[in-house]
Amino acid sequence: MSRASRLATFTTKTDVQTGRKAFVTLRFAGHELDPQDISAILPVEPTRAHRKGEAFFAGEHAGNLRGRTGMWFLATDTLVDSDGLADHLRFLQELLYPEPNDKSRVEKLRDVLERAHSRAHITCFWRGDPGETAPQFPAQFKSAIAPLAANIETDFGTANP
Amino acid sequence: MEPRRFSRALHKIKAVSDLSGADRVIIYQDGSVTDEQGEPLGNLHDED
Repeated sequence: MSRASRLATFTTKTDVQTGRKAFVTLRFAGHELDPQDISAILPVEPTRAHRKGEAFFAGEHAGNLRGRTGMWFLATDTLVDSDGLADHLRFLQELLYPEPNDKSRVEKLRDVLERAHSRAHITCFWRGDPGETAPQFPAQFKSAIAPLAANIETDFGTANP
Repeated sequence: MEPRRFSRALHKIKAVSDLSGADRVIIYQDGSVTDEQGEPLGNLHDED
């Protein structure tokens, strides 16, 4: 059973018209980054990966674009069947730490980032319904990703009534 | 485009372009998104 399927235990209903309420992105970016070095460590197909200057297909409307920088990018919205931000963060944490005390992936990532003068970034998206309270960002996740020195950005809001 | 869908698509385009939420972008009526210099970043309609 895939990791995404196991996380499906936490599903909440998603409105097909408005789509996923929450997801997380993980990216490694830098001019010298070869995304294959990240793919060699993380066992998941990235949403997008390219080297700086490399052409890539950005979609039917956007067509082919050229990489502004080296990029390995993952968005969890198609991997985690849940509207709960915590489920998306848990997916990332399990990706980075296959076992609670297994730091091997994070240590390898840190080495790649250092060699390629690149950075890790995590963004969290959440759009609640009117009156809904924004989720808390788990301190435990923050400490788990501290070794990556990842920049974390939250984009939280509620829909207008 | 429904507001949540719009926000989600824009969030993804900025993230995959290595931009932060505070970075300014230009959004065109056809859904195209460029940076302030006019460099194409993506299209909102591709992100859902």
